[in-house]
Amino acid sequence: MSETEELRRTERTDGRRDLVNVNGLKTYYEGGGLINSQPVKAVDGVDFHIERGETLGLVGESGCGKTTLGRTLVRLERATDGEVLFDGDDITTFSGKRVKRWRRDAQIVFQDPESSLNDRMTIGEIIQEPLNVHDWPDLDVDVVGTQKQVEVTGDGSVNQDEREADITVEVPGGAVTVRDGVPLPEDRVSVDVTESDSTVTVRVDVDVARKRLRRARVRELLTTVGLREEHYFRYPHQFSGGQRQRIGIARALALEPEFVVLDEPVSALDVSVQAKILNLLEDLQEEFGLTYLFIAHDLSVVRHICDRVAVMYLGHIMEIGDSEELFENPKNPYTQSLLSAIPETDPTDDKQRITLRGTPPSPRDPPQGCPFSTRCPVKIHPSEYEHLDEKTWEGIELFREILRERQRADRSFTERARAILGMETRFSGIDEIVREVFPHRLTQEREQALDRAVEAAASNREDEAREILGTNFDPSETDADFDDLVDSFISDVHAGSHGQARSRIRERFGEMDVPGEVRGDVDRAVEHVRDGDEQAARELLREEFGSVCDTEPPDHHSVSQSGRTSYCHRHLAEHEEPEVAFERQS
Amino acid sequence: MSTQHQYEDVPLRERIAANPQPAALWAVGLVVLLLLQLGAIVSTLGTALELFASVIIGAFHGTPSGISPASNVAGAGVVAALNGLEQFGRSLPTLLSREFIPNQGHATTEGGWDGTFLGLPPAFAWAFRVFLIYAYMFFFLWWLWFGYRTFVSHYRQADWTPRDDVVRRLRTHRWGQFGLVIVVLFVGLGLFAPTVSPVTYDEDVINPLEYEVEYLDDSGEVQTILSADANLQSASRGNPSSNVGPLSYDDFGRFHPFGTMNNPGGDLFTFMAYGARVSLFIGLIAMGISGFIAAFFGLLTAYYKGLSDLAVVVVSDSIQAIPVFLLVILVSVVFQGHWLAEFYDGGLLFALVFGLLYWPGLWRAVRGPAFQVSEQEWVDAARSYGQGSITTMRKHMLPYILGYLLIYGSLMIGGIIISVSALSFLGIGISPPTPEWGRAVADGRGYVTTASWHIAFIPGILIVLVVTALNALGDGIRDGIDPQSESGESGASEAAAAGGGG
Ligand code: SF4
Repeated sequence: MSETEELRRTERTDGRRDLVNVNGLKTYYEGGGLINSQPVKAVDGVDFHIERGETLGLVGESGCGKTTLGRTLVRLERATDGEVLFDGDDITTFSGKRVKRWRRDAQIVFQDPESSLNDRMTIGEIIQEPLNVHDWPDLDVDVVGTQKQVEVTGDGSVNQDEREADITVEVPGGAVTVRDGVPLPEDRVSVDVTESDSTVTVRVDVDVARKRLRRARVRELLTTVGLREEHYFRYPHQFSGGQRQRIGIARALALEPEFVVLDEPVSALDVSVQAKILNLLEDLQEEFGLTYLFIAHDLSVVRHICDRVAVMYLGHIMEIGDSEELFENPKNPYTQSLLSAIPETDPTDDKQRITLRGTPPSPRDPPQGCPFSTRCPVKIHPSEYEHLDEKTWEGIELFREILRERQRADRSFTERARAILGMETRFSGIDEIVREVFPHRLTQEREQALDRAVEAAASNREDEAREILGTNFDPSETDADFDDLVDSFISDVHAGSHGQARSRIRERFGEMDVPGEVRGDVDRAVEHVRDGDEQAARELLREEFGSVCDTEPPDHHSVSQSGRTSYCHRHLAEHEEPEVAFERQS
Repeated sequence: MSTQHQYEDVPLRERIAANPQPAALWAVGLVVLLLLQLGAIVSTLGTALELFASVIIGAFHGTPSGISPASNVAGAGVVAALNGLEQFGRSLPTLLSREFIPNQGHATTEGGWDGTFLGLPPAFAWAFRVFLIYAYMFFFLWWLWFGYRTFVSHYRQADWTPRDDVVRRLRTHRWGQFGLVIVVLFVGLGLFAPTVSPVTYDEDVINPLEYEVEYLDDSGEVQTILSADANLQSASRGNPSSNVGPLSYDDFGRFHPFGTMNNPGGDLFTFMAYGARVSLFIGLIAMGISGFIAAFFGLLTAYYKGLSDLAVVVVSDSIQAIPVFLLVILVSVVFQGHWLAEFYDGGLLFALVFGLLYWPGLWRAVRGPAFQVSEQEWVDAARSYGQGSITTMRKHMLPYILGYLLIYGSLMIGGIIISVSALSFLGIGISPPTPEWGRAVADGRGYVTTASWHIAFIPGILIVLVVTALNALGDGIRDGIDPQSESGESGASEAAAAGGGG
């Protein structure tokens, strides 16, 4: 980097450390249907900043809104609400010429190198297109060494933006410097300075056509990203994925941006190529002082390349902060679950794996409170139920989740009609659900009979097992076919899965094994469902078992000295910290 | 900073200057080829421009300039000037012309022929001329291909382009090549109609009372007779005594490759050649209009999606709901006597109607591919560096749907040829004297079981052949540009052809 470049960068910093500041940003997609469809809340209120020259990682499962967020930052999507300050200016309000000018500063590298390059154009044309669009180079001129009014004529024009001028002319004398990045030898620029009392007129003539400068620039870019100049006339088909991604990077760098969104730039590449591209990106950042937003779902890549990391779930940032720290000591329950899924490199570390149940809820209809509340393993429970054991809670949450899911599932017209007519639909079967979801228990007598039956079946005395079951369990107690049940019981035992065999019988003939107060509520909820009023059932359960996690969106709480924040109620003083809750569970 | 910048890329002009020989060779060849047919080219150009100018003038003044009074003297002047150009073209030397290789003459008592090329029998003179014309045409096309090869091997900077793959696939596509050959024959028939037909249409149909034919009568005397009378006497009317079949001479020493027509007689081949011109004219104009609208809407709806797409769906559905034949009947009644209806006796009107009616099918065919390409990240990339929407559509989307336009366009031309023929067959199409294949089928249908079967049969077979060839060509292009689509698209292409058939 030349000295003037350095100077310019510090000048532009203007004391402002942040290049990008995002406040309350929301990006919603209108629903596909014409009538009354809920928008998809892809990004649902995020705040963060990106410092100049740093790399902010953005991670999350697919569909969490990270790509939409990245695309909103470069205005490929329209923000629904909130602001994106770029160097202090809200780019969501820009229009016309201003957008176009700003686009030079913020570029994007796409995920799929197969799709990001137009196959019908040569590599040269592809990389050159952004230059053509902006009629690069400006050939703007800074005149230094004078206090007078400056006028520039000829091919040049007075530098008007904050970027470094392409040509710097010193008066008196007319010494010319051309900045790096413009492939123009100084001896092809002729300068003629005329001074009057109040003004300096500088006539600048460049004897190389802009078109040629652009082509030379493209050639330089090709070598910058590790390709060869003779690739200029090749077509994308002739390149491998890694090379194509290099071309995409060259195109993004063509206009000398300050900020580059990298949308999973290596996830489509072979592992062997990934490292090379990542190294290239790091080198380029160093060389050109770039600021990156690095979107990824591969956590190890993020840890390697990012200074700070933001973890996203269902349109929200769950935790954001220093990368090393976040990976070493995650605070948010979601981050903890996510990180526990990475295969541990250190085998002595006995960190337990947290398996998340279910799938993320639909972004059309996110939970009211914490976005993670439907799956959070350490969700806060109401204090009066604090004593319930884990199994029961799992059952309750699963039960609620199923009821919610049933509400969302679109029922076809005939199904609705059948429901109205009181006919059986696939949405009934509530008993089956309850059996599946909650643990069941037999009376002591029956439990002993079950033990004997298992033993008999295990030692190949099937007839005896059948008889024991037949005498102790009354087929009329269940709606299932008794003989089938016994058959599968025996084959389960033979297959060695005694537990499953037992629970088969328990589910059918046992009592729901939950504390009395829970039992009553579940029964009432089941009643509501039977009456066809699932709404009431959901409300009842929420009233009884819901907590602040269901009703209130959390705040970002500072969780470390370095300013890392986590989006979770558990960081409030009145609740246990997530780690403690996880600890207690295991 | 490095001061060593290379500006080594060279414009085509300089690349040619560096190695001028192959380019020069090719250019000289091209000039020679053009000079050979200079007269025909200039006069055809004159005819086309004259037609175009008359339509423009008609559009401004409401009447074709020829008929209108002093209201548009300037327009009339333009048309006259273009007519002059056409005449001038005719006066230019043209190697392969009917004047240079005449096939009309009379037999001599010695058994030879007088007035024909080298004294050959008219059949041979005619066949020789047709052969030369087609040889010229194919050689000309080959020369263009040769030019492309020259460019690729000597001047192109890229050593490979995606087009090379398309060319490679087309080179082995026999079915498509069959289609191409037939289509070239058909286009040649229309383009060179005045030269390949045994007699001009003017003499045969338009003004037969102003031309005379010399012939050797039974007594060995050379007699003259009006063309009109000769036509009447040699017309094919079903019974063997008054019939001139394919590849035979009539009583006046005239050779009829396809035989003669019924009332008022005339040469069927001539009728077919000029008819090909009309079909080609209607097909190309309709296809041009449809293709333009379809491409425009295809790009627009794929780029903006949402409401714009919905609007075009509604409009195109409404248009497709219109019964084409009923509308055409309506239009031909409403426009009776209107200046638009006078070009080619309604041909231009049909071209416009078909163009405006058939774009929805074409649009639907390109809508899918257009949407697909609009989803590609390179379109987003173009947006991300501020490329304008129009340029993005043109540069990043249009190249991907042009191929589909060609495929479905060639199917559509086939469909239109059938439609126009069908309309003419029903008697509501293009009216006499403008020739139209369908009308020949209609005129001849009463004679199918008689000696004059050729009147309906030959045009019918040719219609089938040309439409099949256009389909084959479409298949070839499709397989060339999109080798994966083989079976998937055929359902759609059949639908398009059926739609084109009205
Ligand atoms: S607020 Fe915290 S504890 Fe509650 S559901 Fe969300 S992540 Fe879990």
